[in-house]
Amino acid sequence: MNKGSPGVISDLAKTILIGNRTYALWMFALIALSLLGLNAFSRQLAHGLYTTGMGDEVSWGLYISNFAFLVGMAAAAVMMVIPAYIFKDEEIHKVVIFTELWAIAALIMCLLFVTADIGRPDRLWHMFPVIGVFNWPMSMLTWDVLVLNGYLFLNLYVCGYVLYKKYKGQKLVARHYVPIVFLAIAWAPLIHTITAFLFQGLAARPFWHSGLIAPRFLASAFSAGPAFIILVFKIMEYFKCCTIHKDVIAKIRIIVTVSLLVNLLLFGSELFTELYSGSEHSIHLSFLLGFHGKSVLAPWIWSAVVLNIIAAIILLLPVRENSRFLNVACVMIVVGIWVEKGLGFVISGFIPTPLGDFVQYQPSLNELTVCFGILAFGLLIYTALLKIAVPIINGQLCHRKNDN
Amino acid sequence: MRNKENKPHFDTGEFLKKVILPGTVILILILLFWGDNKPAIPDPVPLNAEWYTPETARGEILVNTVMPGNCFICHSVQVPDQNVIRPQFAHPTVKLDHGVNDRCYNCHHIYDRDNLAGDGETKIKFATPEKLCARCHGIIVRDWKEGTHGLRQGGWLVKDGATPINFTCTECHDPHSPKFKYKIAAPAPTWPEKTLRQARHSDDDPKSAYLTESIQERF
Amino acid sequence: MSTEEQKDLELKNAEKPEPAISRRYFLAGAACVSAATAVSLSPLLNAEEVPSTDDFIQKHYKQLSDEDKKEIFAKLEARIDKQYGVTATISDPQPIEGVEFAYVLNLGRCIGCRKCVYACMEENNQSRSPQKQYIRVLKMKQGTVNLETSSHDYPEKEASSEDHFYMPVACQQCREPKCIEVCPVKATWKEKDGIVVVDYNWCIGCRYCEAACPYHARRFNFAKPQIPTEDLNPDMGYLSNRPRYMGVMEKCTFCLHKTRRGEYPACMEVCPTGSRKFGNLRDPKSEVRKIIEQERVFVLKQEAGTLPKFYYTFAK
Repeated sequence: MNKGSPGVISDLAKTILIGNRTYALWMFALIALSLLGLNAFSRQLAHGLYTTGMGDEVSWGLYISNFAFLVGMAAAAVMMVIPAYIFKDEEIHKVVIFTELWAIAALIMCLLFVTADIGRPDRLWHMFPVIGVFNWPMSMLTWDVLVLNGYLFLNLYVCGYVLYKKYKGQKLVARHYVPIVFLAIAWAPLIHTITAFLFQGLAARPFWHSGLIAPRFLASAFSAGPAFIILVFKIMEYFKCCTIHKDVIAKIRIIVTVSLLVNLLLFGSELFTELYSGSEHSIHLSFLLGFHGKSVLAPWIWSAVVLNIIAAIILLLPVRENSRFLNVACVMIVVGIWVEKGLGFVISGFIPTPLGDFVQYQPSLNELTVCFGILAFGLLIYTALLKIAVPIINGQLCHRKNDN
Repeated sequence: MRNKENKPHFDTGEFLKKVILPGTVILILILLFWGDNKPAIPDPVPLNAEWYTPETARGEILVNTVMPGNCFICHSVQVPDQNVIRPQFAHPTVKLDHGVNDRCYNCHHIYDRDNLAGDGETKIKFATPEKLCARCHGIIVRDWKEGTHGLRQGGWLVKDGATPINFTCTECHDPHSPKFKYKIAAPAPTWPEKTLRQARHSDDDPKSAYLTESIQERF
Repeated sequence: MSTEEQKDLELKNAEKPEPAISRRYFLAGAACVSAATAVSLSPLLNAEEVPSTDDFIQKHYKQLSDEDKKEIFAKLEARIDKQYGVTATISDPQPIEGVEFAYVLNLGRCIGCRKCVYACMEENNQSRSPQKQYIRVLKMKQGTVNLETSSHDYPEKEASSEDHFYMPVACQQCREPKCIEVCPVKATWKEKDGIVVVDYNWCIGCRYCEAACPYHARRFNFAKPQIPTEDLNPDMGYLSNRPRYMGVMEKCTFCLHKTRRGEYPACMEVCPTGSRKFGNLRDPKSEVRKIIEQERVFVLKQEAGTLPKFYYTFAK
């Protein structure tokens, strides 16, 4: 039989390519969506960012909104890694690799969203340190590039190491990967804090120029990320990939609840500051909430607030034990936080402009297609990674030794 | 994903024929028909030259065109009326609207209409009106000489020894009605339709109105 | 399923001679995906601006030698000739020693005619469609300085209104520009004479500077700039008014191709009421220096810490 590297690759290829009907349909749909997204992006490359809904007034739109949200999702993997490695929770330790794989997929999506947003992607090499000009440490974007790529490599290393060792049937040597895991634990809040610093360092945008942005980002990330992980685990259980102990779900649920409550508190705190004083500084929030003339974003932000509150209530009542209610609450949280971080933060920071001009922002069809394409591509990568990881962790997929 | 031994074997070939191939064809058709929708941007139109041609605030047709020729031809025979504020026959379009001035001879030399009136009976040439204007607007003329008032010609970098050239007072201000009536204005900026911008031509903020209302209006 | 059964199943699979997916089907699937990918990339054939290899590898402006610059300028002039049929000259005037530019705008005089806006468009070869204007004239009611209630799009007939005053805002050429701090590739920087410039061939178009500017002074070319041939101004500067590319930033440069030769910027030359004053801050005899020393001047958004070079005054 096969021996050495070709065996590994053909094993992986076969695992990814073979599945049942649902899997095949799912992957086909994701590939189709990704290709539609690629098509829309080609159109954007051909005709410029004018194909999006952005303009000089709202110069960052849905791409950066999704970027901010997904960095949070990637950082949220740490909320599972801490119980697994610091508190040495056995049950969580068994499934923590699936969250680290999600961090990889989320980071790839982040990088793709940033690339989609860049005006001249052919000039991205200008950012490399020696051949280009890298404005570090002044520019927060350079910090972001460093920490996001660093976090990606950390996770790739840890997941690759664990999966490879398990695949080969060898024992995991703790000192080869556990220090990297601890580094990733410290690194994860860092990536989201730096993404928040990107926004909150700008004195020109009073809506963002607040110290509360980084804590809000972290709180919302740590509620939406684990909520998404709960949904992923539920789906994996449904497809009988593995059994997740109900204590695991309960513990993640507690993390989500606490983070969500903190997020609501911080949001309430911002609301009070802006609206109580009645000063002109509150114009961004007033406009967002629809108090200052017609706002296209107002229905979205109100729905998000309502969704978050209802989800918080569900998570505090005894019905949280009920699987169906929990699923609904998790979906509400993911959607609510996405709206709050994307539309309610990134885009509303631009309205009104620094010169007081009010415009509306509506993403174009092309822009939406690119977004969905990148999201589909990320899910595609994640499904493929899970498809490999689940059998390896369960011990089903092993490197076949040469029996001859 | 798993469960090969529980369910019947998933036939890749069937799936390929029934789902993937037609699906790909449909996808390709969608991509082709969606096509290349280039965003509709109107063709560029050259700007109206009026909007960017330099001119002074008196760039409009001068209403109070002085009559050509030697003023003395007509004005040598008349006995001047000290208090005339509007010319009787000639210069019919002149309307004096210059603050408290109500007399032509405040500025025009009463005996020598080729010149302007200085202190006493001194004469000021039309080419140097600033000497006349300085009689009342001394501070502004001082600023004008420094270049901080009015328009200056040339460039900011004055070569050594050269004197910067300013436009004279009357090149910008109509002496009979000095308040600017400059009316050439250029259009407002335009935004692409997708910006969904609501026009706001004037500020109608009620709070700001409080700041500028007169007390009498409120009480 | 127990571990033994799993191992049995593996061995069974290992014994099967043919793979679980036949090569034919694999190739057919791969062909479908490749065909769809090729079709999805087809809009690139209609790309409006494809950078040449030279453009792609061009270094940062500050790293270019004089010969590099000559070559680049010649290439750009040839390209402009080809596209517009106009013979242009691209100059690269250096900052004059001992000069620091400043601008003073007299709000008591501005009548909101917007001639500065269009003179700037004309001088700096700005895109007509989609429209790019560096200067934005705000109309505000007498007695308030509230930017959020200002009007940006008052129609022409409402210029010179008695109850209002007009405030044109463009790049303030700050002493501590926030935009240059945030650029990840240092494509924008402050020159010795205070002008903040953009290297159009280095900018990657991330628009972080546009987010960081407190004065809404920076513009991004979301589409390919379109200028009618008859309007093209052939007197160009490399860092100022040469035709820009799709996907890069641009902004007011105090007309450096003119001002570094000792002339006035276009907006100042065209102002009919003499509201605008421009000059060298270090020269005690310049108008700007005298106004700043003698009149009561202020700057916009001083709290942003930008220390702008653009002063406003309400002198009569």
